[in-house]
Amino acid sequence: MENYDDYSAWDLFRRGQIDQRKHLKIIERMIKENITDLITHGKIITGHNVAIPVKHLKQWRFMYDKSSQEGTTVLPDSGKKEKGDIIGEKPQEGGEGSREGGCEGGGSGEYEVVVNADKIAEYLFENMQLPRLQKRMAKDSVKEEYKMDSVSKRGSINNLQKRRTIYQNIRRNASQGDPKFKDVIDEDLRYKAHSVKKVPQDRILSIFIRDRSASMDDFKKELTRILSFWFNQFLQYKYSTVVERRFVLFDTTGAEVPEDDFYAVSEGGGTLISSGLEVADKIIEREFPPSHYNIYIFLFTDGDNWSNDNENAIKLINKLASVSNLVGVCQVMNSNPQALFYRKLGSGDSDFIKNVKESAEITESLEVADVTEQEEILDVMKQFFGGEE
Amino acid sequence: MKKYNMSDIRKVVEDLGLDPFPVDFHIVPADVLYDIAGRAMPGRYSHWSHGKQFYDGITRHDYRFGRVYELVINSEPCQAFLLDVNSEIINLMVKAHVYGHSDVFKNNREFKGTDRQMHLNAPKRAERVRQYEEEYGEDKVREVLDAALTVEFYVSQDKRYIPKLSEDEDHEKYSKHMEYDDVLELGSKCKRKEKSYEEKMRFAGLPTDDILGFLIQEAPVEDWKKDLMSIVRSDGIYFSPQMKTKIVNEGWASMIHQKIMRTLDIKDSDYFDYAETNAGVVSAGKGYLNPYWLGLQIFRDIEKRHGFEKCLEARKYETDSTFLRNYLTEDLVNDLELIRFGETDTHYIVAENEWEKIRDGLINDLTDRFPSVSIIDRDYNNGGLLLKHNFYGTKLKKVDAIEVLTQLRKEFWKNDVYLKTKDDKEKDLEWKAKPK
Repeated sequence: MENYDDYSAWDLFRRGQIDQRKHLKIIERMIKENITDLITHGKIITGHNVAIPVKHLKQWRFMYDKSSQEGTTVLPDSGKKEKGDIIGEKPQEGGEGSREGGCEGGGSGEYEVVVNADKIAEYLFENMQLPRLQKRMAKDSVKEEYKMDSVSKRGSINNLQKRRTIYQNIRRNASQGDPKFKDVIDEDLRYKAHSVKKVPQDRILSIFIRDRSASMDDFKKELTRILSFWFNQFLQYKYSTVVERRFVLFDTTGAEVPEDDFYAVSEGGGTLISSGLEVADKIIEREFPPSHYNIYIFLFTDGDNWSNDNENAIKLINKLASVSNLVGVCQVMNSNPQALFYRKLGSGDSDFIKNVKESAEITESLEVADVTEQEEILDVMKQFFGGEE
Repeated sequence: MKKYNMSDIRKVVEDLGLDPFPVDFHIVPADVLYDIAGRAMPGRYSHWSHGKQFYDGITRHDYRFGRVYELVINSEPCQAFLLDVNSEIINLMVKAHVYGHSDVFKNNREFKGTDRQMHLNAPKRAERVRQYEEEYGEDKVREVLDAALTVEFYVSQDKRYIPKLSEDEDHEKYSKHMEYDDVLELGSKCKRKEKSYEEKMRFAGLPTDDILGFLIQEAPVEDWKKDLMSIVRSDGIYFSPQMKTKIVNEGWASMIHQKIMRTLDIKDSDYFDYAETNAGVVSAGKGYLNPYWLGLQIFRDIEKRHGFEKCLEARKYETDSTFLRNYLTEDLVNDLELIRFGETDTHYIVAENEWEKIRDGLINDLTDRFPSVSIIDRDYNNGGLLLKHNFYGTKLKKVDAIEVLTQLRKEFWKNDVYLKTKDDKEKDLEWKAKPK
């Protein structure tokens, strides 16, 4: 009465892949349609991946709006517990995505899709150029590229170029009076082959400098992290050569650090912006002669500098701007009402920032952007990297 | 090594007093199992939400206790799918579990009248869906399905709204089988005097909570779209009993597999493998309530107090809410150390400690999963469709509701769709579908 069968019979039912393809197709379309959302709302979770809240892919239903969760569970020693007793702590916000609820058919909740940032880069960065990119070449900065775009009479059968082969065959037969495809001989066969091209390499250096002083609170640090992630993505995407990346942290002193440390949370002291700029300057002097490199420098600060340091800092900024394609200064700020109010009055900008903005008016390679929230990222990128200048 | 025979299990099951459908067992690899789990039915029509769950299922495969061990379909004969990498002893346990499910499908009252040929009908419907995709495009079909799925469970078993489908599921015939007479008779339910014909027509068949059924009959759209809607509706009707009896079903199947495994002659080394898996399946679960575990505890308690006969009776007549109301006693709540929890901004706290409130809270969770919404008027504000949320104290998410109304308007009603509801101060609200 009961039967067993071999699962091969279920090949007919291997529809999972088809559904998955539909799912991925929708995600791709969603990426295209909502590219700004992804940049402005996506959460960076690892070096290369972005978690995107997929509200557009939600299966909508009538849902309760429960302001607080209630449920039933097993609690050891529940007999001794009183109403109001604490059971446990809630997990912290931040980095917490909405979790898909169970496996109920249709997916009644929001969830996140993890997308490789490169995929997003494809759609987003098509229109953005690095300004003033010049081909600065050093002697060895030419590389050989192999492309499979020519034809040869020799090769392996895997690389058979069918159209050329057919064409050759017909040609040969035609010369013998019968222009048909028949009687293929070795002489007819054509294969795909490599051609070698020498391609000049763009050499690119990017330096990320971050203010880690006490005034840079968690919000500003997070904003910095997101901005530098996307600047990085853009650089890496646009230029197939490896982009040299260096990272500098500063408060009253500056130091070069590994990438992970650059993003790590840190509590600092006072602020001497020049200390960070000096480190960048030294890096360039030591290792990356401007004649051979296209240099991009990004400075993240809330602009709150010790006033005595301003003159020195401005001097350094201008010096760096003179050897770089772009020095992008991001003034990261809080967007609380008080800060916005002061901004409107014009007294929100610190002296340092005011000076840099003045300098930026006359210096082509110097740009200053004010950033108060993640949503503004795209505007900043357009300002720094926008095609028309 | 002793071989454990299938016939051992079937015999033990019958000796216990169970009466399951015959079962077709299929040993399948993970991707097939997750495919089926994702769409809840082999060969069911292809929808992107199934793809999402398929993807999730596959990546979960490597985690020990998150595994899907088995899947059994309510049909005759039952179709059961077993993971091919399970050891023999685990699969034995799984098969025992499956018989428990089959027994519930056959004997529990909620399942009477469900489509026992679903495993054959689903692929046929999927084929129609695929044909519509070819003819009208994947995107268009998806939009219609998405809209129908917004009200997937707003269906009723009421035959009056079920389009009669002929044996070979010929969709062209179904619209001729609509029984309008019955619908018109229902108009007399409205408590009004001297209704004009227009009034009768306006409220004929209303109020109803079979939103999908109503739309199939009344929406001004092409037949192929109505066919898609009826497919979604059939699924909704088919799956409803399973949603109402999760605890009864899983509890019963767990109890049966435990009993059966005890009666079989199992070697020690195999037993550890079984015990660990068994423990994983029926453990309490921190922070949520494992239906396998809760159901099992209740059935065991019934057996202790009233004997196995009573258990047989319970699996026949109870749904989850009546099961809890009748059998989750004060003693059991205390023995199981259940409490009701709530939350503040920073912590989880004990919300209720009195056993009745705990029990009622749990029943409420189960029965109140979908807000109750009915259609009450088909000619509101010049041809608009009016829905009403039957408010029992909890308000609705506005964004979600408006999305639903918008899809219903765009795909089916082609005119305004409204929803009457309340806010948390019980003030009346009226929401409207977004215009195009």
